[in-house]
Amino acid sequence: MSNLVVETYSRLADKYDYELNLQSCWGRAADKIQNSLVIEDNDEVVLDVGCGTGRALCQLASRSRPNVQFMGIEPAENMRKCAQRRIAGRQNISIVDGCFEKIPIDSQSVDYLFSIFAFHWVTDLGASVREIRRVLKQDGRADLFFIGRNNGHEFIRKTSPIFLKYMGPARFLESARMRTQLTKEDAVRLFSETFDPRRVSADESYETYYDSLEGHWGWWVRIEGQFVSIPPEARKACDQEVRSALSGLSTQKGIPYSIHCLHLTLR
Amino acid sequence: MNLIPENALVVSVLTWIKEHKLPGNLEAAGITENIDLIANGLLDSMGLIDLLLFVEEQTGRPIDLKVVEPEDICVVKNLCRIALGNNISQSMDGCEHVEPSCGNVLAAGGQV
Repeated sequence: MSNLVVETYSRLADKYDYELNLQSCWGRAADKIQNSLVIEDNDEVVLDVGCGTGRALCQLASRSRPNVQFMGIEPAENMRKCAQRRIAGRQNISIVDGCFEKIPIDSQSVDYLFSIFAFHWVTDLGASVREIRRVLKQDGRADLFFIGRNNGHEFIRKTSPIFLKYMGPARFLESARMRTQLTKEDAVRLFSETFDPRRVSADESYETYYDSLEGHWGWWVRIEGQFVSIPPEARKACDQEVRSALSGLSTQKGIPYSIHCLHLTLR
Repeated sequence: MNLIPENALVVSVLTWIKEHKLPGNLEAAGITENIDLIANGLLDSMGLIDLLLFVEEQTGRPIDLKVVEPEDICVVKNLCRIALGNNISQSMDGCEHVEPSCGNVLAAGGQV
């Protein structure tokens, strides 16, 4: 079944590692998360679900024992190609097609599963959590980082009326349904349905990043899939209105964007 | 036959919005049936989805999003009228007519 988010990530894969995206609030937040990940001494298999172009996977492999096997799962074909180019020659890293709902790995084979800003794109929450449980070893660990319910509230307030106008109600709401934004409580409840609740915990953080309009525009590649339904002839005018609205948020420090990040932990 | 009167639905929807609105935008006392919920930042798109589900639950009728305009679902008065299958041009005070919006033209593939 086609997935507009995956298709768009694949179409724009070459732009994903542009400096503007890497230096954006999302790039910086992702770097901070990947630097916080810890590989334990007895970990043999580490899995990154939604590995994108493989940045976190390579960084983590670089600071780990060479006998740890790293695997990246990514549904967007051209993102996988970028990741494969990045890992060229590294025997302990592999990239394969897959997604949270269907992880192509043997049951109970993963010591440590992590994911950075991918889980909110799942299309079937229940199936995704069951797959995580299936592939994790009995004592396997997981760290999932994904956006929470109140993510980007500054931008959403400014841009929603514009997107509603250009998309119309049906497409606007369909676009919203492409992502899942759970509260911390919802996330804990969801995972506790499948895992022993004593193993499940969640933290949440709100961090406001300030940037220029162009700086923020640099990460638009990450959400482009939600806007492909805007008729091409209207897209330019829509973008102009969005840029103008975001400019209105400017402060002395720049244009604010608050990332509401949920960190779901399985131990 | 409508199971819930329009006025009762309006009250019920306003109560729901006051309970579920985004933080920091408009005090509850300022929320009326005439304000635009999206333009005023009371709801985001996911809040709007939840509101529509609530309204459909109240009326027992689905809302066809393909035939509505942005202000039909973003303004409580219009939303309740649409949800009950009443004519949008027949407002409760009998004097309002909602013109087609730019958003709907675009949704149908039109020009800006």
